[in-house]
Amino acid sequence: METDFPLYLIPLLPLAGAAINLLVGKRISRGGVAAIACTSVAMAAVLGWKAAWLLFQSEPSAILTARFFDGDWIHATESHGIGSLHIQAGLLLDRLSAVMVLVITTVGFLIHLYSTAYMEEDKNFNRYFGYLNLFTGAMLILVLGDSLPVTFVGWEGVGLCSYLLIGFWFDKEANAYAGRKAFIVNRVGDFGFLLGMFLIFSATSTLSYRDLASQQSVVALHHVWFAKASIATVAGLLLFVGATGKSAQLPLYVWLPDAMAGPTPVSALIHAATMVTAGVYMIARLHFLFEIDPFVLAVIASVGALTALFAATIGITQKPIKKILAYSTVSQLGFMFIGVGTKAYDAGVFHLVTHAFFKAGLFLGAGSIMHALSGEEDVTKMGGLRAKMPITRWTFLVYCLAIAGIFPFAGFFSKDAILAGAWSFDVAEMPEWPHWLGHAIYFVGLSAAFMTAFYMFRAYFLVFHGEFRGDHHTWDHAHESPPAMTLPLVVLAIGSAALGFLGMPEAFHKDWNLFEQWLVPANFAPMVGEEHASTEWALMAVATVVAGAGIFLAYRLYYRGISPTAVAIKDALPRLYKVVFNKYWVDEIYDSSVVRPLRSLAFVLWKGVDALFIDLILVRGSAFVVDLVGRGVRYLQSGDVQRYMAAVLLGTAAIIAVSANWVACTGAPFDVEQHGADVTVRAHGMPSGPAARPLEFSFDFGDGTPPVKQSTPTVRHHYDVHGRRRLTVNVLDPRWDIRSSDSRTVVIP
Amino acid sequence: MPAAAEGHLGQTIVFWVCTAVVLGGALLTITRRNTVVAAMSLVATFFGLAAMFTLLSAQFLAAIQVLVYAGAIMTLFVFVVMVLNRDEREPWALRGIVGKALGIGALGYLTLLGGTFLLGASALLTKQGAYHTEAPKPGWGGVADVGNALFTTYLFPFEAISLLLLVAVIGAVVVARTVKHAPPASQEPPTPPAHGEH
Amino acid sequence: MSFDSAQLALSLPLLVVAAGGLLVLLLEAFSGTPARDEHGGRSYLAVAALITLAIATYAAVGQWAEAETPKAIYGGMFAVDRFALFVDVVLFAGAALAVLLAGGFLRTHRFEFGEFYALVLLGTAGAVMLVHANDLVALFIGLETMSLAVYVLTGSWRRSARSSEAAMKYFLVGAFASALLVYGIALVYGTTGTTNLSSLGGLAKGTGGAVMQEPLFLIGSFLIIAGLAFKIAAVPFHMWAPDAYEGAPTPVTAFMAAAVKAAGFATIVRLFTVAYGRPSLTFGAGGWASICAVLAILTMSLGNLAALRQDNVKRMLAWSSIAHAGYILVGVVAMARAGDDARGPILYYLLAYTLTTAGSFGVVAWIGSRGDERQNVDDWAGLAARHPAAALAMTVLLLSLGGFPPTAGFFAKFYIFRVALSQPGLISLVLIAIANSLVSVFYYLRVVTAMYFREAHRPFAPVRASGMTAGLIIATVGTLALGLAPGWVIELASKATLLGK
Repeated sequence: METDFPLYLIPLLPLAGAAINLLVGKRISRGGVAAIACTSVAMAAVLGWKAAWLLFQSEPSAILTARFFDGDWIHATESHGIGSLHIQAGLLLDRLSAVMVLVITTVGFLIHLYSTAYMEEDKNFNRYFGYLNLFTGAMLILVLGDSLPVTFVGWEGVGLCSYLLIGFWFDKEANAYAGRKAFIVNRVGDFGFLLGMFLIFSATSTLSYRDLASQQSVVALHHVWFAKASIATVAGLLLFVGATGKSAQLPLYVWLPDAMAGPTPVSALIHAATMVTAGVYMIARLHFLFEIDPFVLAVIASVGALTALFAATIGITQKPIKKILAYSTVSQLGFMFIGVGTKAYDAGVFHLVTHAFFKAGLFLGAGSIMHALSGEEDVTKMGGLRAKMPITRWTFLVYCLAIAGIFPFAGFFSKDAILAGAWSFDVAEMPEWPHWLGHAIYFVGLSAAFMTAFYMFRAYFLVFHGEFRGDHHTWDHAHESPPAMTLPLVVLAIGSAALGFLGMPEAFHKDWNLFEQWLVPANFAPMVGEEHASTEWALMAVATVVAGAGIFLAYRLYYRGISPTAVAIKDALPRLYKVVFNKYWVDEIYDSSVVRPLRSLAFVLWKGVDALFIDLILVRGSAFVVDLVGRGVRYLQSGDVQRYMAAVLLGTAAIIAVSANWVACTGAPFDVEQHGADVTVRAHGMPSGPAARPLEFSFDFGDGTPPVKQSTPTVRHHYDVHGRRRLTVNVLDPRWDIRSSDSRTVVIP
Repeated sequence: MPAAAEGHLGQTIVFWVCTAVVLGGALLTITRRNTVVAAMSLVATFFGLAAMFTLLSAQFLAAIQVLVYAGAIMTLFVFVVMVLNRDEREPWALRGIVGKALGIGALGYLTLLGGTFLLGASALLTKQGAYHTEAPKPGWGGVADVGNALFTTYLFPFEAISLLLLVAVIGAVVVARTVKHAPPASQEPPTPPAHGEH
Repeated sequence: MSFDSAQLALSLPLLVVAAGGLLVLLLEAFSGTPARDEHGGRSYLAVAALITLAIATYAAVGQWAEAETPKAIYGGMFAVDRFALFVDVVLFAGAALAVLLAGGFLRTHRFEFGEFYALVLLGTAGAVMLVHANDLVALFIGLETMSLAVYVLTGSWRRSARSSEAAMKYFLVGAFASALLVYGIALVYGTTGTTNLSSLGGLAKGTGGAVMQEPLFLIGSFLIIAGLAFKIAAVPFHMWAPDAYEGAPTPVTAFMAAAVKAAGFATIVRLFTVAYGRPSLTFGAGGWASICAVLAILTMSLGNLAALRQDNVKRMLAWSSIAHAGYILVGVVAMARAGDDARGPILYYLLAYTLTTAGSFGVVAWIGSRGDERQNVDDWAGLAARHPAAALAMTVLLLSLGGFPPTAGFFAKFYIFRVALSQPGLISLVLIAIANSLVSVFYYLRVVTAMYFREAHRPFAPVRASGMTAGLIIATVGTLALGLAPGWVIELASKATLLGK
């Protein structure tokens, strides 16, 4: 479907807002800054809904396209056997990207709104909103891009904004460090993304999604790259490395918990709802590539499952509320990767959507709590807040029920869909993997779900129930947040409660899975190995029981503050607790295995290369050269016009003199080839083409025979004498009347 | 060169006399301190050039040379020189003597080289046919020929020159206009003359 | 030959600019306002000049499709081809930026006069003539028209001693170089009997080409090269440039650095491609490509090394523009081997360079106030804190000059170096160019560092003029846009046809 819908406005509006706020925001009032930021995102949201409505009215495979400008964005001609590169700055809205656009703009708008109150007192109000708008624009480019390079622009853009916003309060060392860490870890992933992109291009000569999906490209991707791995395998794994960086999966998840140093709404928007899901989106977008080798899918699903469990265990022991939520995010992202890795793309994307709502809500709720408690983060120092903050408490409860997966909240449906997909994951095509892989992933996911329910309700009970465990001063100041903060909480809570019905499993009713119906025509293959209704009912029942058990356990241990039982359990397993509490020492392992060696190397480079080579030789040496040239220039550039004219004359004369002498002087040097008494003399001819008057060569062999005069540079001669002889070649350039000669001694045996 | 090519002694003598007048006039122009003398020497140069043009059978050019340069322009020069009545002792800079010497050397080289090949070219004309050899038609160089060339082949440059002259006139007006309303001294920047690098 | 309407229509860009120049000249005379008022009131002339340039651009763009097959009009004197049209648009852009910058600058320094805009337009007309010239005579007249206008513009700030001095130097050395050029033309005509570039090219291909190896012809060619090298300020014909650029009123400097240089390079490209296209004339003894390679190395290296030592931002930019001529010369050398493939990159470079350099001189013009031009790099300290938008614009422009992505300057260098690398034997030249652009980063960043990381020691009072603001925005956004979307421009440029090939 080709319409002239101004798709490009969707990312451009927030970008324009960012430009205004960053450039002239200081001169605008706070209200103005907030209005610009919120309005631009709201307008993008309206346009996004309008576009989605257009899609909704058209046939299922309809798409909207647009370009930022006509003509090529990147253009390279064919060379070295690699096809020509024509990349347009194009945008593509299909049903998949439409879902993403709606989530980004809608949740993004709510978080902008929330921020107007949350950041009220910050002195860099305009910078904050500028970055937030910039992020929204970049994220929209990421999801709307119609080719890998355009997506990559957004991919890097959101990474930059993430860095800027994590380190937003950069006057604190730790925040700046956290920002840097996020940036560097992400660069590792981006490197994989770039390599994958290059590999795909070298195989298919295209990077546009629509061209890549064509039969021809898929065939090209099937080609074996090395050993038994096809291009698709290697490229898929490389792209997945990119996804693990951006979406905080094992082993590159370490940056996300530290990223909580940024303002809380930023954590909600970037590090929960949108940016971190970019990896999931990218895999869903390129699913045809990942499907070529099921091995890659299995890797994705396994990494997702392990991350889900691993992060959930850490979440149980954390005390700062934002850290709990951060590990929870890592864990939930793992669920999404299980979804896309087991070909249940719609389930993965569905969980992405529901998660965006309840996790954004959880973060905003946490922000509201911290706002009330003057920045207190530790859940063990909270308690009993249900009386003081009713709206925050009820909405928080809804989010917790949603993330735990209790019917009928949104998380129930999306998590169930993922677990069902894992259960029915067909590994028949993959001899390398055990046949029970799908079931194993299911059980790992189920354990993670149990822990999720447990740690979320642990947090909920510790915060809102029992007695307050902090100081009285803080308690007296605790208050419900202003409407600009509670309104988004309520809206997100409604979404978390109701969105699930969009993706009801087929066990309820055959046609009620609206979400799947929306996405399946967007080029997704229909799910294989659909289970019977009875199996689905059983899976749902198990999931509900497990979640209920988690909640019940949390209730027993934490309903009235930290129960003695909880302490007893912790004391009974001191080592295990210590390991988990310290997050398995992953940061320390990275520090000693990667960071320290690099530091040592850097030290050597600094002392050896930098101090010695660069400072001494390059810097001092070049300074010396510059100084010398400067003196010369100062002498010549005296301001004396006669001298300037002299330079012009000298330049002209030099050109003529060199040119005049060149031919003759380069013509005379010669090579000698000797076989006994026979010599072949080869002088150099005229370098530049035939002239009316060719060079005149004269060969003097030094044996008394008359010199040979000719116009060709090569001559043969037989010596009748013995001993050392002087061989001389004279060259005359008759045009310039310039002579030159060269001579050499030959020894005749 | 027709002198050398055709070997007529009379023409050769005239050629060398003209050369002496042209070069001598030019030398006097740049060495005389009395500006009127310098201007008059330039007139001599122009006349010598006009004579040379006649030798090359470019009669029209010779006439124009006398009329425009030796006549009109030089009159203007002399007027200006007399009206200005500048001090004869102009400062003479000896700075950068190395650079100037090199420049003069380069000029000498170019002159010698150019001269050599120009003189040599006439021999080539007959011997090798390397250069453009179309001989001038009888009566070439007259008003009719020049007019023909100007209004046919070179019509576009001829018209374009009007633009060039217009720019020159505007430029002269702009440069010659007196500076009015000098602003208060406090606001005017001291702009010392530049002497290149600082 | 006659001037029929078809030919006139084909030379519309030239006619529009020339007529516009005359109109602007008359407009002031007949406007009835107190014309000798020092305090401005001449914005309407700038607007008229801008409208003229817009119409001329429209005319040039309108001929693009038609010019795919090049035509020669006015008896083979005037080429109408896409190459010339592309450069026309570059020239108009440079002139428009100069006009935009001029209003505020001239008013601030109290020397606005109506002929300024007329001279810019007439100078542009000369440049257009030069770019289209397919004959050495037309070339010379175009060159002189352009140069005369620029000499006068350089000296137009009558109260500034530096401006007069710069004009005097520029004029004297320029006249000298013109004498060399015209002497060269005479020698070429004397040896070949033609001044037409296409005929010279035809001669080179035929048996008459032997004459092109003869000394007299070669000396003539070298003199022409010297004359043109003067115009593009290639070392060692560059010595007028720092003084003239520094002394001229800054908008004029922008015009000189952008339009005059672009026209010079366009002439070089046309001359070498059309008249000296024969391979035996490119490299080796007396080959123009060999000469250009040496000039390129000298120009880049000396330009950058000298710029390193400048504390005066304007003079630094002047040296930097000399260095840039060296980079473009690398493209010219590559043209000797790569032929038509090198033309696109050169055109892209000219466009990118025009926007960037005019913009950066524009910021220099903007920052000064009456009686205080603030050209020293110390005077730029702390600009970012007070005027973040201007500091950002200058940063973008300097980064573009330094060749950082994603600015136009990066792709300009990238395309030039790539086409040079695709030809054998030019690697060392490209390596020298890359080393030079690395060196250049130092002095560009010095200004950026001053603007962002140092405290201002006295308040700023920059020029406030909407035209100047518009000019700076256009130049900066254009620089960024060209860098973000280089594809379509290079595609367009690579489709530029050239007459006589």
